[in-house]
Amino acid sequence: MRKFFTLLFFLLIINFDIFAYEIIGFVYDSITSKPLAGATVRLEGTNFGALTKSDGKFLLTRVGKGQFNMIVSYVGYTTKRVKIIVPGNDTLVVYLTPKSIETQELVVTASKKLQTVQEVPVSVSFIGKEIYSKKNYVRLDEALRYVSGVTVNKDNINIRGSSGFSFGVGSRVSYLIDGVPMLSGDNADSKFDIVPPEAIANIEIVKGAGSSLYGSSAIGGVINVITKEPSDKSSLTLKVQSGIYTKPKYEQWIYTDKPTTKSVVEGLYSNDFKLFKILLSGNFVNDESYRQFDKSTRYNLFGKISRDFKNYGKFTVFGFFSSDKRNDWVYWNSLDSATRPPTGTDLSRYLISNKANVSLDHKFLLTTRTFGNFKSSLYFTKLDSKLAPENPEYRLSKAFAFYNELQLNTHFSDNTLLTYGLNYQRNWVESNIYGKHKQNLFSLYGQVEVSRLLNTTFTFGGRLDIEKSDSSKQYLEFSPKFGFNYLLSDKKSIRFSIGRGFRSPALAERFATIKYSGFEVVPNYDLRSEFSWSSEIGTLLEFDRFLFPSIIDFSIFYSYYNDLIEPNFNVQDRPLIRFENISRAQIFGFEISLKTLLFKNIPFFVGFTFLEPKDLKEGKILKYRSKYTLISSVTLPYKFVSATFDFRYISKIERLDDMLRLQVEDYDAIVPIYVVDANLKFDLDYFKLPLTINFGVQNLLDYYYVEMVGNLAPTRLVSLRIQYSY
Amino acid sequence: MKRLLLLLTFLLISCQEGLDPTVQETSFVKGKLIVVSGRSSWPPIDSAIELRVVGFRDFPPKDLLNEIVSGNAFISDTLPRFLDTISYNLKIQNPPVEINYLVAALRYGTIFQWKVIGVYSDEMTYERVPKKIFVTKGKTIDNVNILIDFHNLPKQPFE
Repeated sequence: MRKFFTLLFFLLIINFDIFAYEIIGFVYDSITSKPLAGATVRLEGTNFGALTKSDGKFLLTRVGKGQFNMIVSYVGYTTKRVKIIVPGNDTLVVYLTPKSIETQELVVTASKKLQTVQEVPVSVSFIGKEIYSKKNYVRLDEALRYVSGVTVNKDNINIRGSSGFSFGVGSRVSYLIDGVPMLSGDNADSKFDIVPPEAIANIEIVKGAGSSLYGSSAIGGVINVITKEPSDKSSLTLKVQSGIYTKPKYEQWIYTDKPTTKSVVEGLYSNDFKLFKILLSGNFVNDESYRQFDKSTRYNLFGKISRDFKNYGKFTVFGFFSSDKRNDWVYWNSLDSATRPPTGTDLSRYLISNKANVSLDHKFLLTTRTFGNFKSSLYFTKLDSKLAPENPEYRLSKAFAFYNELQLNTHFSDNTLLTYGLNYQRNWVESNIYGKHKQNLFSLYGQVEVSRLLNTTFTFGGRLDIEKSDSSKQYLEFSPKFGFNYLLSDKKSIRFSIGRGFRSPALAERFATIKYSGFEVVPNYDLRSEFSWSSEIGTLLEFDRFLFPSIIDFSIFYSYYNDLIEPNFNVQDRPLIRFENISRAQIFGFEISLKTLLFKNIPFFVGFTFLEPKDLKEGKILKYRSKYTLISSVTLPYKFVSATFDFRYISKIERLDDMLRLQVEDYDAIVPIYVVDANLKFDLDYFKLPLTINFGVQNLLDYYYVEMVGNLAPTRLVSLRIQYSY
Repeated sequence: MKRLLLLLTFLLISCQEGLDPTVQETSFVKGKLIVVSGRSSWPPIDSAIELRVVGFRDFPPKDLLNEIVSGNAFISDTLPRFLDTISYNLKIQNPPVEINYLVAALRYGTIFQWKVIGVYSDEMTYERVPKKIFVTKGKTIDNVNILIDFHNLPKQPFE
């Protein structure tokens, strides 16, 4: 530990060499020659970048000597790659060509460096910021439900069948905010209310094992939420939203005569104070719910400050505080009374969940060919049942996750890039149900990328992780990876990847000690990591002269899982539940998606995923998995009005845990999911007013279904949002 | 455009109805547990932890928990204890079903430790011959009373 910080200190001191230059340039529309404000300019293979100002001007500082590829991108324009030599004498001028369909989104998560989606060797989905302005979403997972191959089951994110259902404990997807892991220190679960949607710039979803770069938890994939950068000028956005849950169509489910509401207030302020740039955002949600005694109130605050020091690189500090208060019951009374808590539930009980984080991100130039990125983060979570300690249902858990990473990118030649780094994470928990425990994770990783070799980009590397919790053995994991991306032309590519993923047990899984309703959960100090091998072959095809301009993405994938951690019932002298490494599984499947622009102005998307998830130990389908998912979206624009319809279909879950029969009435009341969301957006900017009005209906058909056993999913919500921006 | 709207309409029409509490294929068996040995005969509270009525498809059952988990038994909500007469309501999913063994079961220890304290039967002998009940779809069968005698418990099926 001490050595790690000594090395870090040494690197921070020596990194600031004197061979640094500035790149100045302008970005214009190639047809109108008007400057493009807000275009992104980045150096390939690094995280260095800048946004253009209102006159189209950009400035990149602290660039080393040599030859680089500069990537210039802007929504609605073709992304351009420009070769530059530093130092150069001239001011750069880049012209971007307008494009009808977004084809080359820039992503940073797949290889821990900037590249276009077309260049990566794995499947990546991209959610742009417009999703939260177009739709009345208040949590980021609402948008994830409309990503191909992704299903959300309460707090569980499931990418291509990797996860079943475990109340979110032990996530099999690595969840990052600006590249910093945000899984809680005790349960290793994802919290989706920590960032206000208004502060989100985009979300990248990498599918398949990603442990070769992201270590534990990336067994099924990675979700990276990229937040907005503070703007160069003062900007303010305010949103007020109010909605009503419509009355259910079944008498049995009506529990009140009054309509219940969901209200949201959200805002974002950003400015450049010369000394530093700042972004502040927050939201408050009061949800009376569609169920009785299910009210929740939550708020969160998010802040980001950045400053670009000419000689020391760019420093960004971000953090958040989020609090959620909700009633404490889990399963419905029965299907007959699906909107009511179980008979006998103490209705005065509630839970408070607090989350807080502060993170540092430092991007710097180490040598003329080496760029660095240091990240440090402290994440605190607290769950409190607000009961007396002598109450058997009393729960109090406080956990910290302290994360540090040093990442370097070295360009050995024009087409060879080495990405390498080390990180250290320490989780510790203090809880009446998990005890007081610590977990240390230390890792080293390296990845070589050789690009433009026979039109192919090859990627290979691996990561070594050492995990040690107190009272348990030390475990070593090595996660190799190989992939390539072959460009058939600049609009067609074939990709292949194979890699290993693993997940260290959460402290909650290893140390849980709970007695509840005759059951006893006991710790398992010998619980090992679970691991997977994932492979995929896919293609991305872009057609300009097809019937309509279209992009088709197709992939076939196979994953093998071993030592999957699951709760296991043991009957010795007394009934015990222990988390154990008990399952082997495989998932084969394919995914196809089509993005097109119908009749030149109607964006349309459809994605279909097929899974064949098999429990190899029992020879049956894996529990809590659906075989088929279909999502689709269409937007119909007309002048200042646009109507968007989203549809998702998820086939019926075929296998549940039979033990649930003991706890949950009508636990097998499961149906396929068909949900339609509709949004009508009025952009009053058309009339020179800084207002947008959104009329949204979530679950338009008022279709009744469950995502989690014994939990009626949200019924129809009709909402109106007014947004003011300047 | 027309094709798109047709496709959308098709998708919406083809949607199933979703969860519907009104078309549940559920029937009920209702009755009373009558403690013939009197209220004072109940065992102490630490060995009378939980009382339920359980209907088994098969007789004799293997063990209570496994039969419930595998769907071969139906279990009532937790019932009040330490009374002379206790009303119960047993929900039967997916009828028609033949219940071959209907009992009152008392948990005296952990979740796996149950004993039968009453059997739906015509007689009160130790070997009490279980009386069958045939439950048809959407019907409620009333007055299915079970007698309990703590001084003369029936033969235990799980021993």
